[in-house]
Amino acid sequence: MAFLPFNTTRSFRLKPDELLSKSVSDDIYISVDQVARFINNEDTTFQLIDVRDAGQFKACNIPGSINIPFNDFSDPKWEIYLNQKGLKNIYYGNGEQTASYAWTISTGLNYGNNFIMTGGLNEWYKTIMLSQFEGENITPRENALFENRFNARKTFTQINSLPDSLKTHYFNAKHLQAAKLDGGCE
Amino acid sequence: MKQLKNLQYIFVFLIILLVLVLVRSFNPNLFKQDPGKAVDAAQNNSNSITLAQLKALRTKYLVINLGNGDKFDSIKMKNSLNIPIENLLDKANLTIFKESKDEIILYSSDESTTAKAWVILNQLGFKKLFILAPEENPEAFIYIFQPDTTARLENDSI
Repeated sequence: MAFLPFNTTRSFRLKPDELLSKSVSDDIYISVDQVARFINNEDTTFQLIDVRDAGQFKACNIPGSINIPFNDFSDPKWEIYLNQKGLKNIYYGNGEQTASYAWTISTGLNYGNNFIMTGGLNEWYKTIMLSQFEGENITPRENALFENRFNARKTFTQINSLPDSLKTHYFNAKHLQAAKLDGGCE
Repeated sequence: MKQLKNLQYIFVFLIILLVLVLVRSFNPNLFKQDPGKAVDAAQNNSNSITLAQLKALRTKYLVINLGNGDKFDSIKMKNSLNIPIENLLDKANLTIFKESKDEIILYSSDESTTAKAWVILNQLGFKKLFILAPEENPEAFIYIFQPDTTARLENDSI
């Protein structure tokens, strides 16, 4: 393989047409309400990946997420987190741009099931953290929606209000869990 | 005789290797770039250009509007070409990209669409490819998180 004119292991494995058809599908987007539900249900089939830098991640992040800063995204050390069979990766940044870069690269490299959280953390904040019910009557559907948001908001505030030492402990435990799932150790 | 047979095996192996090299080198349906380069360019914003920079450009450029249908962009740019992202890799459109000697500027009202299209074209080896940067940084966090110092974890899951 060394005779080949480029490094085959580092280029995209998906064919361009396949990658494009996945890219234009609306199914790759997951709403913040869906993410809130995964958190409330402690759904372990989803892995939230925060692609912002470490400083922003430390300031606040969605509970249960791991930090893979986009500037470090091409480092092969992240493959054990990004390419886990049976896990769905949901990428988020502050907006959608960086998450979309990450989605396209990881999908091109044929890493598992990848999704983008619609609107990123700004949308999370607007919809989950700041939404309020206004009106006199509430339907059961609206009630369920607001309860979901309220619970996710509570978890978000609790986890992000922890002292840094406890947060580090929490995130180290998450990384260790991912490594163990992959059959490795840390 | 045995030596000749061994030489035949080596010869067949070399031919197979040559065919593989040729297939990968000339097959337009394969990505050949290092994704790390796309990460670097996107991270340091060397892949984006602002409207002011675009206006100041002295070289020729080709603007591609990636919007379509219900997502059609309200921004209208002079001399822009409309290629909906769904048709990005159509033969005719790829020919336009290949034959263009000018800077190619991708834009869409949806930053996710532009980012995905840029990575795909970049990894296909197209150079001089830029994204028209929105006026406001789409990756700026516009809220401030206020920690609740009285908050305690209800379940000690740590």
